[in-house]
Amino acid sequence: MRNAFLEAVVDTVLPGERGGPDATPDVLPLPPGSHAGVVLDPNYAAQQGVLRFIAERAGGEEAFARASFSKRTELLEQVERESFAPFRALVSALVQDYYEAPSVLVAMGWREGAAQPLGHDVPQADAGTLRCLDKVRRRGRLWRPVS
Amino acid sequence: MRLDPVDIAIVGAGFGGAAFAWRLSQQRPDLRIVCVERGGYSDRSALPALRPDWQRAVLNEWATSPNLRLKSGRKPASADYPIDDTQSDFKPLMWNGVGGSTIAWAAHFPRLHPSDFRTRSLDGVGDDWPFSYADLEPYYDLNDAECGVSGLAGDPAYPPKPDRAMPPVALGRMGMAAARGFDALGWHWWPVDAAINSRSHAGRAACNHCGPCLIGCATGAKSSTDLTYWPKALENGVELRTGCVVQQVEIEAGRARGIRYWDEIGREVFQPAQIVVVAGNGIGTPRLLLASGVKSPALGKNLMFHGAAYARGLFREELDGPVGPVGCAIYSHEFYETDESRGFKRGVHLQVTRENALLVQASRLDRPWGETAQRWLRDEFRHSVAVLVCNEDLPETHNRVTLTDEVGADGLPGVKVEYRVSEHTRRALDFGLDRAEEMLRAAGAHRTVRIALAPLTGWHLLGTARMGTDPATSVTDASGRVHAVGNLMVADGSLFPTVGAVNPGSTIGALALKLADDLARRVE
Ligand SMILES: Cc1cc2nc3c(=O)[nH]c(=O)nc-3n(C[C@H](O)[C@H](O)[C@H](O)COP(=O)(O)OP(=O)(O)OC[C@H]3O[C@@H](n4cnc5c(N)ncnc54)[C@H](O)[C@@H]3O)c2cc1C
Ligand code: SF4
Repeated sequence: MRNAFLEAVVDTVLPGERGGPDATPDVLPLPPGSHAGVVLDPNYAAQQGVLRFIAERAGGEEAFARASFSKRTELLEQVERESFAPFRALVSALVQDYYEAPSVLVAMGWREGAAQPLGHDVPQADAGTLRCLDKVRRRGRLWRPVS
Repeated sequence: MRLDPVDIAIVGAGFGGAAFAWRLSQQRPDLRIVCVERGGYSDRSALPALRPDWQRAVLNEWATSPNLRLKSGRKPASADYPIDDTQSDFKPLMWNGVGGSTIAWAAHFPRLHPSDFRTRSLDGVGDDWPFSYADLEPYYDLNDAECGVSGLAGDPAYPPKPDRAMPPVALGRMGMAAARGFDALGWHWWPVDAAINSRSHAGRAACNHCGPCLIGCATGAKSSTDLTYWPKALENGVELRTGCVVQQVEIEAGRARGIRYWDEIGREVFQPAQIVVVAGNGIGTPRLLLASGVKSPALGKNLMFHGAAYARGLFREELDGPVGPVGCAIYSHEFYETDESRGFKRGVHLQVTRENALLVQASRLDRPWGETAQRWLRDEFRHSVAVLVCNEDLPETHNRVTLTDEVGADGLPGVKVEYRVSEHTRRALDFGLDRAEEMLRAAGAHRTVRIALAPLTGWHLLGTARMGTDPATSVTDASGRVHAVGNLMVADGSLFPTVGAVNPGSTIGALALKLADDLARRVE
């Protein structure tokens, strides 16, 4: 299978953010899948069937790769309808690689790497929040007594 | 192979089995107690949270569902068996190994309310427990002390509880935002009780809010029975045999003779015992008892999970993101007790929970690919508060655990779960979702969404070997003794006649301690 086709599939499933009116300098845009290091292995047997099906629906690998983003999205939606489980298995594999990619985590404002041993800082309740509990206390017993 | 007889053989080293083994060994050091567990210990130094690819473990070999773990093709640390859950609206979740499901639990640690023990007398639904909150209260206190609870005393939703051993787990921006919402509406809210160390306590470290509590706790801050009850039980002389799958409780002329199991290397072993105690959880227990030929009309029936649904609020302000512990921040029991004007009896528990890891959030979207999915994640991630709505589902005989005609790889008959969400649960969940959305909007959410039914929430496996006084409608008596087989007991979540609307762990632990005391007084 051609690289351009495989890359086009990845980048249709995971298009990333292309900037646009909402983009701000302090928010990094999400990269497209292929820029985040997500690759489809053409030798991975479990995915070959659905990839061939995508190419077939598009009229060939090249046609898919050359199609506009919205056309490719339409084609994948069609494949999803006609071959749900294999398509979703492909998506799941790509999504797993993508959302663990350091560049994606960082673009989402998160830390890359293991959850431990660093952990995270979480703020304690502030004084105002704790004061609200007085109101709850003042209501008195809320549980239903049982004789 | 036939072993020397023991006094007590316990099946399952989870919450019930561990608490029971410790308490009985403490009260009766003269007894020879053996516990047989199908899984092994979890190795804390090899937990996925220590690896950069920990997020995918949540979806694969550390998924909460044993079926998903088996399907992942990666070797799970849990000794799982497949469960046919195709006919179940909620998918059963569990962990099979030393510590049982407390290895994977969130350690949210509420008690039942006094009214939960009297639903039939008070509201004409469900059944009364054969004892009261007051009878269980000293065991709740003891279980709290042994598990180590962070929280805040003085919650008016409950009868007074002793001072909590540690202050509440940090609320975070998310907890404070939700508190703002409850406060604006004048509704009850309170920091949760959690069996998690907010400070170092009892030789275990403090939680560092790493996030993924459900894939095992690498710091040991989360209380699980491999860290709490088991070390003490072993010190008391209890023998724990791991990697051993119990095939049958051998019963002859209405008496249990002992247990037959496959040991770690596949040998068949017979362990004679004066008393057999089964604590395999709400699915493992009926599976084993049915496979052993125990006859009881209620066995396997009345499965309860708690109905579960989520409302999620999206906020413009930045919140905490996927930090832990997942089951902690605050909760509300404003709508816990019956108010018939709501159109259903009993109530709902609103639990404010933390965000999922990014990959988990992405994977759970209806359509997890394409531009819309990524835009949604951008809006949601670090900007959302989720409220879990749990309701009291009622015992219904058609919700059940049965055996299939197949034989599993573990030697036991296959097991099937059937569960349908009732009209009652649907009404209660819809009511709870409305209230949760109201709170989120009051807290400042600019958008709310609801997940009207969340299938992967079958955390609580309850009711399938229920206690009671009538052998026609219950499997055991108030002391966990199987009506039909006097020296066979159950000591786990299967015993619950009804389930309240809160998580069951604290009650399972307390109940197992009480049953151990009952037995300690009884046994010669
Ligand atoms: C993901 C998750 C999150 C949860 N979060 C919470 C929470 O926040 N708060 C809360 O209160 N509860 C929570 N729970 C539920 C709680 O963990 C369980 O209710 C509790 O652990 C059940 O105790 P148990 O003794 O009934 O069974 P378990 O703890 O499940 O133990 C049963 C044990 O029996 C063993 N066993 C079964 N059959 C056999 C056999 N034939 N031979 C040998 N051994 C056998 C199993 O391997 C297992 O170790 C959660 C559960 C899960 C899965
Ligand atoms: S968040 Fe805290 S309790 Fe949960 S796994 Fe991390 S350290 Fe353990």
